[in-house]
Amino acid sequence: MTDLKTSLHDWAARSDAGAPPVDALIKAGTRRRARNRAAGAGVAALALAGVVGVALAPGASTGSPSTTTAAAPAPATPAMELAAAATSTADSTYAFTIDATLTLADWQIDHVTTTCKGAVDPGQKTGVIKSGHVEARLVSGEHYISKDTVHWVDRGRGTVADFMLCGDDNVPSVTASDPSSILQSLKKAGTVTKTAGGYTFTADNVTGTVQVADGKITEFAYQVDQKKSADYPAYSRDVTMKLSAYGEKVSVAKPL
Amino acid sequence: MTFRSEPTDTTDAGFTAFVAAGWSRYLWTARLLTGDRQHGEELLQESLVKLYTRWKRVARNGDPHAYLRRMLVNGNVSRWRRWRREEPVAEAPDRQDGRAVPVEPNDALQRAVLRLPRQQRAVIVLRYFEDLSEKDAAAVMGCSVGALKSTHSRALAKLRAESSLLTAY
Repeated sequence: MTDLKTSLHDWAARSDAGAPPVDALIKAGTRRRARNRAAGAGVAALALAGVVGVALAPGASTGSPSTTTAAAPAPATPAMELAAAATSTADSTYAFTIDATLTLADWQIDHVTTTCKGAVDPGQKTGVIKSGHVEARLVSGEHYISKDTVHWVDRGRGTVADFMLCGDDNVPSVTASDPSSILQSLKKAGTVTKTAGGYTFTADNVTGTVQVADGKITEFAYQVDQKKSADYPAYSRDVTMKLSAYGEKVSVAKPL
Repeated sequence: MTFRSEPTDTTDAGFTAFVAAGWSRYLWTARLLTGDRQHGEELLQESLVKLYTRWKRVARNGDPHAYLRRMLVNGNVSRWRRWRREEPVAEAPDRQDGRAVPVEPNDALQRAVLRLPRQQRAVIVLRYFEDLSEKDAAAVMGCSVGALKSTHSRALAKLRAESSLLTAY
Protein backbone atom coordinates (compact mmCIF):
# COMPACT_ATOMS: atom_id res chain seq x y z
CA MET A 1 0.00 0.00 0.00
CA THR A 2 1.50 3.28 -1.04
CA ASP A 3 0.34 6.71 -0.15
CA LEU A 4 0.82 9.29 -2.87
CA LYS A 5 1.56 12.16 -0.53
CA THR A 6 4.08 10.15 1.45
CA SER A 7 5.72 8.90 -1.68
CA LEU A 8 6.24 12.39 -3.12
CA HIS A 9 7.62 13.77 0.11
CA ASP A 10 9.89 10.78 0.58
CA TRP A 11 11.12 11.28 -2.93
CA ALA A 12 11.91 14.92 -2.24
CA ALA A 13 13.61 14.03 1.02
CA ARG A 14 16.15 11.95 -0.86
CA SER A 15 17.42 15.05 -2.64
CA ASP A 16 19.57 17.83 -1.23
CA ALA A 17 18.25 21.16 -2.49
CA GLY A 18 21.44 22.99 -1.61
CA ALA A 19 21.62 26.62 -0.56
CA PRO A 20 19.34 29.10 -2.30
CA PRO A 21 21.28 31.49 -4.59
CA VAL A 22 19.64 34.51 -3.01
CA ASP A 23 22.34 36.96 -4.00
CA ALA A 24 22.22 35.89 -7.62
CA LEU A 25 18.44 36.09 -7.63
CA ILE A 26 18.48 39.58 -6.18
CA LYS A 27 21.07 40.73 -8.66
CA ALA A 28 19.11 39.30 -11.55
CA GLY A 29 15.92 40.77 -10.14
CA THR A 30 17.57 44.15 -9.73
CA ARG A 31 18.72 44.10 -13.33
CA ARG A 32 15.28 43.08 -14.52
CA ARG A 33 13.67 45.76 -12.43
CA ALA A 34 16.05 48.33 -13.85
CA ARG A 35 15.09 47.27 -17.35
CA ASN A 36 11.42 47.46 -16.46
CA ARG A 37 11.98 50.87 -14.98
CA ALA A 38 13.77 52.05 -18.06
CA ALA A 39 10.75 51.01 -20.08
CA GLY A 40 8.38 52.92 -17.87
CA ALA A 41 10.78 55.39 -16.42
CA GLY A 42 8.52 58.36 -15.91
CA VAL A 43 5.93 56.81 -13.67
CA ALA A 44 8.35 54.80 -11.60
CA ALA A 45 10.70 57.69 -11.10
CA LEU A 46 7.92 59.94 -9.97
CA ALA A 47 6.60 57.35 -7.56
CA LEU A 48 10.03 56.84 -6.07
CA ALA A 49 10.59 60.53 -5.84
CA GLY A 50 7.37 60.85 -3.92
CA VAL A 51 8.54 58.30 -1.45
CA VAL A 52 11.99 59.77 -1.17
CA GLY A 53 10.47 63.12 -0.53
CA VAL A 54 9.40 62.03 2.90
CA ALA A 55 12.45 59.95 3.62
CA LEU A 56 14.45 61.15 6.46
CA ALA A 57 17.72 62.73 5.87
CA PRO A 58 19.71 63.82 8.87
CA GLY A 59 18.71 67.35 9.53
CA ALA A 60 15.53 66.90 7.51
CA SER A 61 13.48 64.88 9.90
CA THR A 62 9.86 64.14 9.21
CA GLY A 63 9.08 65.23 12.70
CA SER A 64 9.36 68.63 14.25
CA PRO A 65 12.47 70.64 13.48
CA SER A 66 15.39 69.65 15.62
CA THR A 67 17.25 72.88 15.28
CA THR A 68 16.35 73.81 18.80
CA THR A 69 18.31 70.90 20.20
CA ALA A 70 21.54 72.82 20.59
CA ALA A 71 19.85 75.58 22.53
CA ALA A 72 17.80 73.27 24.68
CA PRO A 73 18.55 72.98 28.36
CA ALA A 74 20.46 70.01 29.67
CA PRO A 75 18.55 66.74 29.32
CA ALA A 76 16.45 66.08 32.35
CA THR A 77 14.59 62.88 31.55
CA PRO A 78 15.72 59.54 30.13
CA ALA A 79 13.71 60.22 27.00
CA MET A 80 15.42 63.54 26.49
CA GLU A 81 18.80 62.04 27.17
CA LEU A 82 18.14 59.34 24.64
CA ALA A 83 16.95 61.90 22.13
CA ALA A 84 20.12 63.89 22.67
CA ALA A 85 22.27 60.80 22.16
CA ALA A 86 20.35 59.95 18.99
CA THR A 87 20.81 63.47 17.67
CA SER A 88 24.50 63.43 18.44
CA THR A 89 24.89 60.03 16.82
CA ALA A 90 22.92 60.90 13.71
CA ASP A 91 25.03 63.97 13.10
CA SER A 92 28.30 62.04 13.22
CA THR A 93 29.97 59.65 10.86
CA TYR A 94 29.75 56.06 11.99
CA ALA A 95 30.14 52.44 10.95
CA PHE A 96 27.38 49.94 11.55
CA THR A 97 26.50 46.26 11.53
CA ILE A 98 22.87 45.21 11.40
CA ASP A 99 21.52 41.74 12.08
CA ALA A 100 17.81 41.47 11.42
CA THR A 101 16.00 38.21 12.15
CA LEU A 102 12.52 37.72 10.85
CA THR A 103 9.90 35.15 11.83
CA LEU A 104 6.69 35.15 9.85
CA ALA A 105 4.78 31.94 10.33
CA ASP A 106 2.25 32.53 7.56
CA TRP A 107 5.06 32.58 5.05
CA GLN A 108 6.96 29.74 6.72
CA ILE A 109 9.78 32.12 7.57
CA ASP A 110 11.39 30.94 10.76
CA HIS A 111 14.20 33.00 12.24
CA VAL A 112 15.86 33.98 8.97
CA THR A 113 18.62 36.52 9.52
CA THR A 114 19.88 39.21 7.16
CA THR A 115 23.13 40.99 7.88
CA CYS A 116 24.26 44.36 6.55
CA LYS A 117 27.49 46.21 7.18
CA GLY A 118 28.57 49.68 6.21
CA ALA A 119 29.53 53.20 7.15
CA VAL A 120 27.96 56.59 6.56
CA ASP A 121 28.77 60.25 6.68
CA PRO A 122 25.34 61.86 6.95
CA GLY A 123 26.68 65.37 6.56
CA GLN A 124 28.34 64.58 3.27
CA LYS A 125 25.51 62.28 2.18
CA THR A 126 28.11 59.61 1.62
CA GLY A 127 28.20 55.98 2.62
CA VAL A 128 28.58 52.37 1.69
CA ILE A 129 26.58 49.30 2.64
CA LYS A 130 26.98 45.64 1.80
CA SER A 131 24.58 42.78 2.22
CA GLY A 132 25.84 39.50 0.83
CA HIS A 133 27.20 40.31 -2.58
CA VAL A 134 25.00 43.31 -3.09
CA GLU A 135 26.55 46.69 -2.46
CA ALA A 136 25.16 50.19 -2.52
CA ARG A 137 27.03 53.46 -2.34
CA LEU A 138 26.05 57.02 -1.73
CA VAL A 139 28.61 59.53 -2.94
CA SER A 140 27.82 63.18 -2.27
CA GLY A 141 24.13 62.42 -2.53
CA GLU A 142 24.37 60.31 -5.69
CA HIS A 143 23.06 56.78 -5.19
CA TYR A 144 24.65 53.76 -6.88
CA ILE A 145 23.86 50.07 -6.61
CA SER A 146 25.93 47.18 -7.89
CA LYS A 147 24.57 45.10 -10.75
CA ASP A 148 27.36 42.55 -10.36
CA THR A 149 30.99 42.60 -9.35
CA VAL A 150 31.89 45.00 -12.15
CA HIS A 151 28.88 47.01 -13.22
CA TRP A 152 26.88 49.61 -11.34
CA VAL A 153 23.64 51.46 -11.79
CA ASP A 154 23.32 55.16 -11.03
CA ARG A 155 20.05 55.54 -9.14
CA GLY A 156 20.18 59.31 -9.08
CA ARG A 157 20.04 61.64 -6.11
CA GLY A 158 19.29 60.12 -2.75
CA THR A 159 19.71 60.30 0.99
CA VAL A 160 21.41 58.02 3.47
CA ALA A 161 18.14 56.23 4.11
CA ASP A 162 17.54 55.61 0.41
CA PHE A 163 20.54 53.47 -0.14
CA MET A 164 20.09 51.09 2.77
CA LEU A 165 19.78 47.45 1.82
CA CYS A 166 18.72 46.16 5.20
CA GLY A 167 15.60 48.19 5.60
CA ASP A 168 12.52 46.22 4.85
CA ASP A 169 9.44 48.04 3.81
CA ASN A 170 7.66 44.87 2.82
CA VAL A 171 7.25 42.49 5.69
CA PRO A 172 7.91 44.42 8.85
CA SER A 173 5.72 47.34 8.13
CA VAL A 174 6.75 49.38 11.09
CA THR A 175 10.43 48.73 11.31
CA ALA A 176 13.25 50.32 9.49
CA SER A 177 16.57 48.61 9.64
CA ASP A 178 18.72 51.53 8.71
CA PRO A 179 20.43 53.42 11.47
CA SER A 180 19.48 56.88 10.33
CA SER A 181 15.79 56.04 10.47
CA ILE A 182 16.13 54.47 13.86
CA LEU A 183 18.09 57.35 15.24
CA GLN A 184 15.43 59.72 14.07
CA SER A 185 12.77 57.54 15.67
CA LEU A 186 14.64 57.48 18.93
CA LYS A 187 14.44 61.25 19.10
CA LYS A 188 10.74 60.80 19.58
CA ALA A 189 11.04 57.92 21.99
CA GLY A 190 8.04 57.23 24.15
CA THR A 191 8.45 55.32 27.39
CA VAL A 192 12.14 55.34 28.20
CA THR A 193 13.81 53.99 31.30
CA LYS A 194 17.40 54.58 32.19
CA THR A 195 19.52 51.53 33.01
CA ALA A 196 23.15 50.94 33.77
CA GLY A 197 24.93 51.90 30.57
CA GLY A 198 21.87 52.68 28.55
CA TYR A 199 18.13 52.77 28.20
CA THR A 200 15.17 50.54 27.62
CA PHE A 201 12.14 51.66 25.75
CA THR A 202 8.70 50.43 24.84
CA ALA A 203 6.28 51.70 22.25
CA ASP A 204 3.33 50.03 20.65
CA ASN A 205 4.55 46.56 19.68
CA VAL A 206 8.19 47.47 20.05
CA THR A 207 10.55 46.90 22.94
CA GLY A 208 14.24 47.52 22.92
CA THR A 209 17.44 48.52 24.57
CA VAL A 210 19.96 51.21 23.72
CA GLN A 211 23.55 51.27 24.87
CA VAL A 212 25.22 54.66 25.04
CA ALA A 213 28.87 55.54 25.51
CA ASP A 214 30.38 59.03 25.44
CA GLY A 215 27.04 60.47 24.52
CA LYS A 216 26.62 58.32 21.44
CA ILE A 217 24.66 55.18 20.76
CA THR A 218 26.83 52.10 20.45
CA GLU A 219 24.23 49.37 20.27
CA PHE A 220 20.58 49.38 19.59
CA ALA A 221 18.41 46.27 19.79
CA TYR A 222 14.70 45.98 19.45
CA GLN A 223 12.02 43.41 18.97
CA VAL A 224 8.77 43.91 17.14
CA ASP A 225 5.85 41.60 17.74
CA GLN A 226 3.32 42.66 15.20
CA LYS A 227 -0.16 41.28 15.14
CA LYS A 228 -1.87 40.49 11.88
CA SER A 229 -3.04 43.61 10.13
CA ALA A 230 -4.80 44.48 6.91
CA ASP A 231 -1.45 44.78 5.18
CA TYR A 232 0.68 42.05 6.75
CA PRO A 233 0.46 38.72 8.49
CA ALA A 234 1.66 38.56 12.08
CA TYR A 235 5.42 38.58 12.41
CA SER A 236 8.21 39.13 14.85
CA ARG A 237 11.46 40.80 14.06
CA ASP A 238 14.61 41.09 16.11
CA VAL A 239 17.08 43.72 15.03
CA THR A 240 20.46 44.46 16.52
CA MET A 241 22.52 47.39 15.32
CA LYS A 242 26.03 48.01 16.47
CA LEU A 243 27.41 51.45 15.77
CA SER A 244 31.09 52.35 16.00
CA ALA A 245 33.93 54.41 14.55
CA TYR A 246 32.26 57.71 15.34
CA GLY A 247 33.85 60.73 13.75
CA GLU A 248 36.12 58.75 11.50
CA LYS A 249 36.36 59.78 7.91
CA VAL A 250 34.16 57.82 5.53
CA SER A 251 35.60 57.69 2.04
CA VAL A 252 33.57 56.11 -0.69
CA ALA A 253 34.74 55.95 -4.28
CA LYS A 254 32.35 56.85 -7.04
CA PRO A 255 31.84 53.57 -8.88
CA LEU A 256 31.01 55.00 -12.28
CA MET B 1 7.86 56.45 19.64
CA THR B 2 6.97 55.92 16.03
CA PHE B 3 8.85 53.36 14.06
CA ARG B 4 8.16 53.84 10.45
CA SER B 5 9.34 52.05 7.42
CA GLU B 6 11.55 54.03 5.12
CA PRO B 7 10.73 52.80 1.66
CA THR B 8 13.82 51.84 -0.24
CA ASP B 9 13.19 49.77 -3.30
CA THR B 10 16.43 47.92 -2.70
CA THR B 11 15.22 46.36 0.51
CA ASP B 12 15.53 42.63 0.46
CA ALA B 13 15.16 41.22 3.92
CA GLY B 14 11.67 39.89 3.42
CA PHE B 15 12.49 38.40 0.04
CA THR B 16 15.68 36.84 1.34
CA ALA B 17 13.85 35.28 4.25
CA PHE B 18 11.07 34.05 2.00
CA VAL B 19 13.50 32.37 -0.38
CA ALA B 20 15.58 30.88 2.41
CA ALA B 21 12.51 29.42 4.05
CA GLY B 22 10.89 28.03 0.93
CA TRP B 23 13.77 27.18 -1.37
CA SER B 24 13.93 23.46 -0.74
CA ARG B 25 10.21 22.92 -1.05
CA TYR B 26 9.72 25.02 -4.16
CA LEU B 27 12.73 23.53 -5.85
CA TRP B 28 11.01 20.19 -5.62
CA THR B 29 7.69 21.59 -6.69
CA ALA B 30 9.36 23.01 -9.78
CA ARG B 31 11.24 19.81 -10.45
CA LEU B 32 8.06 17.79 -10.20
CA LEU B 33 6.14 20.21 -12.40
CA THR B 34 8.75 20.10 -15.13
CA GLY B 35 9.71 16.51 -14.49
CA ASP B 36 13.32 17.49 -14.89
CA ARG B 37 15.96 18.57 -12.39
CA GLN B 38 17.63 21.22 -14.54
CA HIS B 39 14.44 22.63 -15.99
CA GLY B 40 12.94 22.75 -12.53
CA GLU B 41 15.81 24.77 -11.16
CA GLU B 42 15.64 27.14 -14.10
CA LEU B 43 11.91 27.52 -13.71
CA LEU B 44 12.20 28.30 -10.02
CA GLN B 45 15.00 30.81 -10.51
CA GLU B 46 13.16 32.55 -13.34
CA SER B 47 10.06 32.74 -11.19
CA LEU B 48 11.90 34.07 -8.16
CA VAL B 49 13.62 36.75 -10.22
CA LYS B 50 10.23 37.88 -11.48
CA LEU B 51 8.83 37.69 -7.98
CA TYR B 52 11.65 39.89 -6.70
CA THR B 53 10.74 42.61 -9.17
CA ARG B 54 7.17 42.55 -7.83
CA TRP B 55 7.99 41.67 -4.25
CA LYS B 56 6.83 44.90 -2.69
CA ARG B 57 3.36 44.65 -4.18
CA VAL B 58 3.02 40.90 -3.70
CA ALA B 59 4.17 40.99 -0.09
CA ARG B 60 1.82 43.79 0.76
CA ASN B 61 -1.25 42.68 -1.09
CA GLY B 62 -1.22 38.94 -1.18
CA ASP B 63 0.20 35.61 -0.26
CA PRO B 64 3.65 35.28 -1.83
CA HIS B 65 3.46 31.50 -1.60
CA ALA B 66 0.32 31.39 -3.70
CA TYR B 67 1.79 33.91 -6.09
CA LEU B 68 4.97 31.89 -6.54
CA ARG B 69 3.06 28.64 -7.04
CA ARG B 70 1.03 30.26 -9.76
CA MET B 71 4.17 31.62 -11.38
CA LEU B 72 5.66 28.15 -11.34
CA VAL B 73 2.61 26.54 -12.91
CA ASN B 74 2.19 29.25 -15.54
CA GLY B 75 5.92 29.44 -16.15
CA ASN B 76 6.03 25.72 -16.74
CA VAL B 77 3.28 26.03 -19.33
CA SER B 78 5.12 28.88 -21.05
CA ARG B 79 8.37 26.98 -21.07
CA TRP B 80 6.66 23.94 -22.52
CA ARG B 81 4.98 25.97 -25.26
CA ARG B 82 8.23 27.71 -26.09
CA TRP B 83 10.07 24.45 -26.17
CA ARG B 84 7.41 22.86 -28.33
CA ARG B 85 7.65 25.71 -30.88
CA GLU B 86 11.38 25.43 -31.02
CA GLU B 87 11.72 21.68 -31.06
CA PRO B 88 8.66 19.97 -32.43
CA VAL B 89 8.72 16.30 -31.66
CA ALA B 90 6.34 13.50 -32.30
CA GLU B 91 5.95 12.60 -28.67
CA ALA B 92 4.36 14.95 -26.18
CA PRO B 93 7.22 16.68 -24.36
CA ASP B 94 5.61 16.45 -20.97
CA ARG B 95 5.63 12.72 -21.12
CA GLN B 96 8.75 11.78 -19.34
CA ASP B 97 10.91 8.96 -20.52
CA GLY B 98 12.80 8.72 -17.27
CA ARG B 99 16.06 10.13 -18.61
CA ALA B 100 15.94 13.56 -17.00
CA VAL B 101 14.00 13.15 -13.81
CA PRO B 102 14.39 15.25 -10.66
CA VAL B 103 15.91 12.42 -8.69
CA GLU B 104 15.66 8.85 -9.85
CA PRO B 105 12.27 7.54 -8.69
CA ASN B 106 12.50 4.50 -6.53
CA ASP B 107 9.02 3.14 -6.91
CA ALA B 108 6.42 2.62 -9.59
CA LEU B 109 4.23 5.38 -8.24
CA GLN B 110 6.89 8.03 -8.60
CA ARG B 111 7.64 6.88 -12.12
CA ALA B 112 3.94 7.02 -12.90
CA VAL B 113 3.72 10.60 -11.64
CA LEU B 114 6.49 11.64 -14.01
CA ARG B 115 4.64 10.06 -16.92
CA LEU B 116 1.48 12.04 -16.29
CA PRO B 117 0.56 14.78 -18.76
CA ARG B 118 1.64 18.23 -17.66
CA GLN B 119 -1.69 19.50 -16.34
CA GLN B 120 -2.48 16.29 -14.50
CA ARG B 121 0.96 16.22 -12.95
CA ALA B 122 0.55 19.82 -11.83
CA VAL B 123 -2.67 18.96 -10.03
CA ILE B 124 -1.06 15.99 -8.33
CA VAL B 125 1.91 18.11 -7.25
CA LEU B 126 -0.29 20.86 -5.86
CA ARG B 127 -2.66 18.51 -4.07
CA TYR B 128 -0.23 15.92 -2.73
CA PHE B 129 3.14 17.63 -2.52
CA GLU B 130 2.05 21.18 -1.75
CA ASP B 131 -0.90 19.88 0.26
CA LEU B 132 -3.29 22.43 -1.19
CA SER B 133 -7.03 22.17 -0.96
CA GLU B 134 -9.03 21.76 -4.15
CA LYS B 135 -10.03 25.40 -3.97
CA ASP B 136 -6.48 26.64 -3.51
CA ALA B 137 -5.11 24.33 -6.17
CA ALA B 138 -7.76 25.53 -8.61
CA ALA B 139 -6.79 29.12 -7.87
CA VAL B 140 -3.16 28.34 -8.60
CA MET B 141 -4.07 26.52 -11.80
CA GLY B 142 -6.37 29.30 -12.86
CA CYS B 143 -9.33 27.00 -13.37
CA SER B 144 -12.61 26.19 -11.66
CA VAL B 145 -12.82 23.70 -8.83
CA GLY B 146 -14.89 21.49 -11.08
CA ALA B 147 -12.25 21.49 -13.79
CA LEU B 148 -9.60 20.74 -11.21
CA LYS B 149 -11.59 17.84 -9.83
CA SER B 150 -11.97 16.45 -13.30
CA THR B 151 -8.24 16.69 -14.02
CA HIS B 152 -7.50 15.27 -10.60
CA SER B 153 -9.78 12.33 -11.20
CA ARG B 154 -8.18 11.56 -14.56
CA ALA B 155 -4.71 11.80 -13.04
CA LEU B 156 -5.56 9.38 -10.26
CA ALA B 157 -7.12 6.97 -12.70
CA LYS B 158 -3.99 7.03 -14.78
CA LEU B 159 -1.80 6.56 -11.74
CA ARG B 160 -3.92 3.65 -10.59
CA ALA B 161 -3.71 2.03 -13.96
CA GLU B 162 0.01 2.60 -14.28
CA SER B 163 1.19 1.87 -10.81
CA SER B 164 -1.46 -0.47 -9.46
CA LEU B 165 -0.18 0.65 -6.11
CA LEU B 166 -2.37 3.52 -5.07
CA THR B 167 -4.78 2.68 -2.37
CA ALA B 168 -4.73 5.50 0.09
CA TYR B 169 -5.43 8.99 -1.08
